[in-house]
Amino acid sequence: MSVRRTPAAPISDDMLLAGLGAGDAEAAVAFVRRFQPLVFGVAVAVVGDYGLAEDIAQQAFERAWRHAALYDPRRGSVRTWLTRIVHNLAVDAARVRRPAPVDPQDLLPLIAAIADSPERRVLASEASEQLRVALATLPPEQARAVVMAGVHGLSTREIADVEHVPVSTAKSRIRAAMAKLHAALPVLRSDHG
Amino acid sequence: MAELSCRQCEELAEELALGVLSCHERADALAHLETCSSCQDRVSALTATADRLVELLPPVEPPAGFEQRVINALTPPPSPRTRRWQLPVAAGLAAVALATSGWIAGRATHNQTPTGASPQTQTGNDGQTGERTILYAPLTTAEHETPEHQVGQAYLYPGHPSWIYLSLDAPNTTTAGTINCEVVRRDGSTVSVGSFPLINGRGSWGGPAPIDRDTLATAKLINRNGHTLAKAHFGRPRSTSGQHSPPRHSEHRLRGHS
Repeated sequence: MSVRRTPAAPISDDMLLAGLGAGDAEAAVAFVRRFQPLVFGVAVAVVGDYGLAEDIAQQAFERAWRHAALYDPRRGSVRTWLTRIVHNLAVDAARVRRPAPVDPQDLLPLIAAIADSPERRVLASEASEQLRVALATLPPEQARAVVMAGVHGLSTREIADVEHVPVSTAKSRIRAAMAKLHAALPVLRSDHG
Repeated sequence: MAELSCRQCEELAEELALGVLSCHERADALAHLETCSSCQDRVSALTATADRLVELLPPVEPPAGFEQRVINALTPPPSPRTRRWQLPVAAGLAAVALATSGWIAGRATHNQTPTGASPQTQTGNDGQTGERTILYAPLTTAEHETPEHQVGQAYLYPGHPSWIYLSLDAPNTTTAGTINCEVVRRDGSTVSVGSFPLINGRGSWGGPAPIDRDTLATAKLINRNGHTLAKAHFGRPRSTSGQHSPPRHSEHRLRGHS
């Protein structure tokens, strides 16, 4: 067996999750502090309401705590796993509460924030940066479609209604956008899944 | 349920990855994926892209008080039967926990995470406010315990609750499948604590484990054939005898900071 040393590294997300799942109070504190901006940011972006987002973010941490033993590193990082948890909770909450369709104009600041966040670029991975650039260069109608679907959880029919276009057009926009975003991330094809 | 062709599944792949298909369409697509690895790969790759998109959402600091509410929810109080006598102790521990909540990201990140198979023993004062101990030992192949045969790392926290984290990184190994983790005590008794999948020689797992610092001897990884793939040896605790164990393991004092 060949040897491959693991380089010095900070305490990993996996290790923190293990401590959280074991009921370690200090690991729980560190886990929450490490991930709360991510978790709350996802919740706020989807539901648009700070109070509801707080409830969702708390539920997400509680779910991560209860299900820590089910985390499977083959299916993505702890960060990805936790993002999925909070995103699913937020989309479910938004679907129940959504009193009115998402206004496409309201998406513009969010798309801009995703696509252009200089302060976060310092720490961003190359893949994230590639995706950010790809999103920024999408035609606006495709960017709206993929954000409405991927972030807000709107179905193709809902997007068609919001944009006043046929369902087939909404579907084409989603497919075209995803194809371009996916093409920008060739490395993901091998490290996810 | 309609049986989809690959072409039909491809038309649904993006929406499936984004999680916005209707229940019926989703069921049809998933049924197809059960039998088609190429469509499965495509949807998996698109799902990774969709996940990454959500991860790009701007982080937002939650309102004041959020962190404490979450932590309270994740660390429930002791049971009523033990609450009375434990109250002062619990209050002290909570204070330490809050004061030291940066410990993991702080000390371990900068200068106390071990790197090789010949770690040094570090000393400190257990019980000193803001400090705790995590045990570390390199995982080495069962036959060789030299630094060049290190294939991973083992961390154990022998507190309350006690837990373990094992990370294996041996890309050239022929072993695959599920790896079992065992803790061996000094009296030779063994406790199975969990398992994890080994993919391309890599895998990690962490979880609760009944660890007593005084009796702990070794953590072992066992493959499905019962063969010991790697071991991590933990020396005897520095204790009352005044004699030092060989420097095979290290104890990490993780001083907290807020």
